[in-house]
Amino acid sequence: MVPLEHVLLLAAALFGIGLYGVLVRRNMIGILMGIELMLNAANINLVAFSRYLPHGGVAGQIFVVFTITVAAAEAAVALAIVLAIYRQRGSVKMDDVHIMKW
Amino acid sequence: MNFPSEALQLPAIWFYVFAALVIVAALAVVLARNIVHCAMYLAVTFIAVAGIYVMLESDFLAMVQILIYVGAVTVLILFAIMLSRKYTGADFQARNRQSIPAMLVIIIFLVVIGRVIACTWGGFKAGQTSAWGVSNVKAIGVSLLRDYVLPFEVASVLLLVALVGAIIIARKDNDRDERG
Repeated sequence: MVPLEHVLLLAAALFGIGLYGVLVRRNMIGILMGIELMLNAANINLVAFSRYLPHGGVAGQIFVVFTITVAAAEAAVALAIVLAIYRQRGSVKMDDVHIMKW
Repeated sequence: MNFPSEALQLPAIWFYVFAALVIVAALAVVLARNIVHCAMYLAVTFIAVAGIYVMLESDFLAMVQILIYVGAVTVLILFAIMLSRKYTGADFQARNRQSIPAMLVIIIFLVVIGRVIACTWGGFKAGQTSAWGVSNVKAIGVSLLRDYVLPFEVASVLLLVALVGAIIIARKDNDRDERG
């Protein structure tokens, strides 16, 4: 039987990797992939708690159903925004989208 | 036989196999140079996470993960990559110059989380299974339509809003292009 700590550490490591992708990648779609990795890490945490803690029942997995739904909707809207930006500026580089930066 | 875990009897080694696959594929996603390769590694990551869900005894979520994440989100990302690439120039550099500060932040984050996990769940008994008594799909279905019916209905409205919003944002605005 896998200890709960190992599952939580896996989720934390996946979250860290996704965070690295968000902070470091230049391509806007690469940043979106990092966001999806972070969402998956949170889902792993929720399912792990739903399985290892007997009092919550199936609530963790219901939460994951809704998280997956929201993540899919957010990916659709975010990619639509990326496409609109690409059409305006001709590039998906994050460095070119800095007009609101100081 | 009351608990699903008694019927499954999956050896624990598979969890570590899937965990290693998740970590390796996620590293490939954030470190690869070609963005199409990143999307492929992302699909591998999602499938490995579905394997983790199977090891955590939520088989319905594993199927949902593969259907939605690999089947829809990855294809969506591939379409967006396809529609936003210039074929005449070289791809730009994959990472900006923030690699070292980002690694520092992530190491600090992992240390903090590791301390929290070690201090809080140190005395947890391994092997304690949850008493569902029914199969996973039935439990989720009953809960969705009995206890969580309001978020369930709101989620459908959310999907409609996201659908309409994405279409409007990504639509080619022909009038404005003609007016210049």
